[in-house]
This record gives sequence, structure tokens and C-alpha cells, in this order.
Amino acid sequence: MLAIAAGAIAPSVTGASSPPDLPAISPAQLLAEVASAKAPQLTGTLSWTANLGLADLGTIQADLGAGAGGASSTGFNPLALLNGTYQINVWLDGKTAEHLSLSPQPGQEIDLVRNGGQAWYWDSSTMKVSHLVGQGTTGAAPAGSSAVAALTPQQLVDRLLSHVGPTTSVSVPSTVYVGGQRAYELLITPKAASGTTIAHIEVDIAADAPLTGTPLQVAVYAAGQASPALELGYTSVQPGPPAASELTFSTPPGATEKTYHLGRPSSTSVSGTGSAPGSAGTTGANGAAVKRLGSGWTTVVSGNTSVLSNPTYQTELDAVTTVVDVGGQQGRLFTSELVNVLVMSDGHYYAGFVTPAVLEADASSQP
Amino acid sequence: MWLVEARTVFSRARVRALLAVLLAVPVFLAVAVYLAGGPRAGEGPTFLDRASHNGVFTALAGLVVTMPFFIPLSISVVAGDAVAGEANLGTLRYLLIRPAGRARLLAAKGVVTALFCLAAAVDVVLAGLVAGVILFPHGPVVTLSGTTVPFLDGVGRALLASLVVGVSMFGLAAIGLFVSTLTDVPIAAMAVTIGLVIMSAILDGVSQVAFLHPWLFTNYWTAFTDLARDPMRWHLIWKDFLLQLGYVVVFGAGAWARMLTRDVLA
Repeated sequence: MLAIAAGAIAPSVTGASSPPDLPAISPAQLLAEVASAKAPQLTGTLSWTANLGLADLGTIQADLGAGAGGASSTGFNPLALLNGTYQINVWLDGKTAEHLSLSPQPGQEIDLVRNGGQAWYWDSSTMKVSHLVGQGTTGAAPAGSSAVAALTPQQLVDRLLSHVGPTTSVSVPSTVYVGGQRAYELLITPKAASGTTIAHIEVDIAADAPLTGTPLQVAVYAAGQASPALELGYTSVQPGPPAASELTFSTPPGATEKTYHLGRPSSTSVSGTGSAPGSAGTTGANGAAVKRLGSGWTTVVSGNTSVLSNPTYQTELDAVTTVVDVGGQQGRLFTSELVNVLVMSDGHYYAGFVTPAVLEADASSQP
Repeated sequence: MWLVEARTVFSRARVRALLAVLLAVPVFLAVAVYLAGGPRAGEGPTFLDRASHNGVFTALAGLVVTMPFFIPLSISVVAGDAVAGEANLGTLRYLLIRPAGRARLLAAKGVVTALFCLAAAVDVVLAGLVAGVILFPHGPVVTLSGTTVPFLDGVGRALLASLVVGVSMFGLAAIGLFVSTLTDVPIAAMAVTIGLVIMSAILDGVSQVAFLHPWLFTNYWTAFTDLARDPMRWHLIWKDFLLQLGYVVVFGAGAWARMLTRDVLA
């Protein structure tokens, strides 16, 4: 009896059980479809799952001004997205407007809306609106919108495919349903398994018009893991233009709005304002140059930071890192299923989708 | 028989006292926020920081505050008492002398307990709405999505939220009813039921047993907050309803099996 009942209340699994019947396609053809695909026009729901096996970031998150759940008087902390599953509602018009909406915890909603040269970031818990206005009001997206666009599977795949080269093998082993759409599954695997933490990457690409060539799901598997370390995919997709009312934002009464005029549409100017949330800067903390070491899947980014050698963070760092000895110099190693980071005592850091051994080798080969 | 049962339950002094306490919580909350000012934006229980902006949020804040404990406690009392209380007083065998049958008696108890779940949640929201409308503005409502909807739309959402919360208590009511058929001591049934609520809530907070979370009957209790978004999100609410249905089926069947085979001595 219990078994029957358990079946009855099992959380429903999206997608049909048997894979869709699609004509065979070569990886090259599929990649060409992705390259020529138009920006999708749809209303849908994305599911984002991060399962990085991270050490508890609670203390550091609290130190950076937000609780683990993401809510506090300072609002949502994007670091919360590094752990757990989140539903994101998406409205994409395929041209100049998009809207993402996320509820990081019950009773809180974060919205990112971009329309032409303007973008809004809304946090319901603080009732604050950041309004970004680009230089031109048509065409060119303001810098803040890159944070919006970077969250769609399309952008992720573009980035992934730039890595396809001699070190990578691609295949199309099967077909799947994603968000009710028929899709090809593209499997991206590093040729040399040693050195990298990535076992393989699955990209599910829509097979039918009007979404042909649009990536619907990306899943990154870490070595030795059965479930993906990172997964971003649609759980429901409705092709077609989204409601116009979802593609704009007006600051409601009672909320405070801050407007940022972006003189120069580059991502550094956004982080330069220091308060454009959601657009975590990719440049080094002190604006120091970021170097790339190695190539292919074992690429390591390296730079210099003083934030982590700040003595006030040492206790927190002790909790989440291990101290290693690299060529006579002390370093701190932060490990997860996918990303590993090595910070040397002189402030040099090395990070990548690589094993700690690669980081240590890179660190000891640097002057 | 169902009407009689409903009348008996809702005319009990302790049931009325429970509903009165539930009524008082949002009113106290509203008065406290009115006198002392609400928490700053983003602090305090969900929605409480908005309670002074609009009467609708006073009602929703009342629901948030009463939902983890007060509402489940009152349901545990009513459900735990349903069968064990009759057995304890010695009235159960008189009820069973009637030709209605044990299954029908249990069904009547179940329906009335479910009715109480809805009544408890509606009670909180109505009290919150009345207190909120008296003390705070009642203009257009700012949703969590940053859009603005008319006041009556907001009131409709608050009432809908109360019904959703009521239904999401059905699983607990079924558990309580099942426990109630196991014993002749009503206080024991009530204590076990509220104990299960607390246990489920604790497990829900432990990330190491995350695989269990989708199966805990308290897991989606906060899903009603999605009704304050625009458009309303039903995804989690449907999941919750399905889960509650599962609990009702399992524990309802357990209660039924126990009721049919039970030796009614008192």
C-alpha cells in the first residue's frame, strides 16, 4: 500500500519516458544549427541546480553581508545560487528585451528586466530598484544586461563551444525531451581525462522550429559524479513573443530607485559603480590583470588579489580551505567538485576546472 | 450526521478558544506594527516589513507567523481529539451503535477536521484583513514582482492564500486522525501529532537530509507566498497539493483500517 501511495505522490518528472524520434544528425551539423540559430523568442521556466559539493559558505556569506538564504537587509546575495535548486521564470523577446524572475526563498523575488537601452534590477525584500540606463536607447545593450543574457543557456553554450578544439570530442548520442520540446543531446567530452575536473558536458539542443538550434539545457558533470554539478535547463517552454507587460518595469510606490547612467558600455563600468548587484565582476578584485595559463580543458586563470590575504578573513578561510605547501611557499586550496582555487600567501591566485595538482604545478612554474 | 459532527466540533469551547487565539495573532501583530513601527525592509518575518504598507500584507504576515506553529497546533488538537476524545469520554461506542457504520463515522470526522483546517486559515486572514484595513492604507497592492494590482485583487489573493494554506494542512489532519484512532488518550494523540510537525520542520531545515525534503508534509507550507507574485506561480502549490493528497490517502487508509479492526471497549 505504501509503495502505491509513494508512487502517487512522487514529485512529477517532466518529459516523456521514451526519447523522441528524430532523424540522425552529425555533431558538425548540430553545431552549425546552433551557430545559425536566431535568439529565441519564448516564455518559459528555467531550473538552475548547483551541486558543487562546496564547503559550507555560511560564514563567508554572512561576512559579505547576507545570510545563507540570501535574505537580509542588504538584499539578495548571488552567492546563494552556488548551492541548491532555483526556478527562474524567463521572458525573451529575441531582440532587445528580456526578463528573468527568481524567488530565492519564499516571499522574496528578484527580477532582472532589460528593454533596449535600459535595465532594472528589483529585490522585493529590500524594495529597491537599480535602474541602469545605457548611452544609446536603442540597439546596443547596456552593460548590466550582459548579466541577464549570461544566464540563458544560449550564452553558456556559445562560451562552451569556443572551447571545442583538438582537445575535445563531440557526439550526438541520443535525443531527449526538454521542457516538452524535442531536442538532440550533444555530448562534449575532454579527450584527455587527466587534469580536468569536468567529466563531460551535455547540451540539449532544440530540434524543432521555431527554436531550432536553441540550447535548452546545459549540464556539467564533474569527474566521478552521477548527477550534474551544474545544470541549467528549461522545465517548460512556450515559443512565441512574451507578454509586453513582462518586458518593462516601473518602480512601484514605496520602493526606492537608484539610477545609474552608464557612460561607456563595458562590464567594468558596471562593477565600477560598486552597487550594480547581480553582475559580479570578472576582473580581479583590485583590477589586476588576469592571465591565462595552459590551454584547452586545463586552462587556469591566474591573477593577484589582496582580499584573500586580508588577515580579517583568515578564520573564515581556515574553515573552507586547506593549507598546502607549493614549492616551499604556503598556499590555501579551496576545492569543490568542479572548480578549484589555489591562493598563494603572496596573493597570487590560480583557478580553473582542473585538479589541485594542475594548480600546484602552474603555481610552482610561475616566477 | 456530518452536520451534527460539524456542529459538535465548532461549538466546543476549546475549538472556539483556538479560533479566537488565531484571530488574535494577526490583530496583535497589526497593533504592534502600528504602535512601534514595522521592521526595516528585508528584516523580520516575511511580509511583516510590508504590513504597514497595505492591509493585504498584514493578513499575509499573519498567515506567515501563525503557519509554522499556531495553525498546526490547533489542527493537532482538533484531529487528535476526533476519535480518541470520544473513546476517552466513553461516547465512541454510542456513536457506533447507530447504523451509520465505522467508515462513515471516520469520514465525517475527517471532513470536519478538513473543514477546521480551512476555517483556521481563513480565520487568520480575515482578522488580518480587518485589522490591516483599519490601521493601514488600503490602496493598490505592490506584488513581490514589483507590479501593482488593485486592492480587491490583493484581497482576493489573500483569501486564496488562506484556502491554499488550509488545504496544505490536510496531510497533517490525516496524520492526526490516524494517531487519534490508535489511542484512548486524546492528549497523547495531540502531543504526537504536534511532535510530528516539529520533527518534520526540523528535518526540513537540515541540508544533510535534503533528499527527504520533497516528502515532508511541511516542505511546501510556504508555497502560498507565490500568490503574492505577479503572475501568480502555481508550480509549488500544485506539488504541495499532490503531496498532501498522498498523506491523506496513506494515513486515511491507516485510520480506516485501524477503525474497522479496533476493539471499542469504552
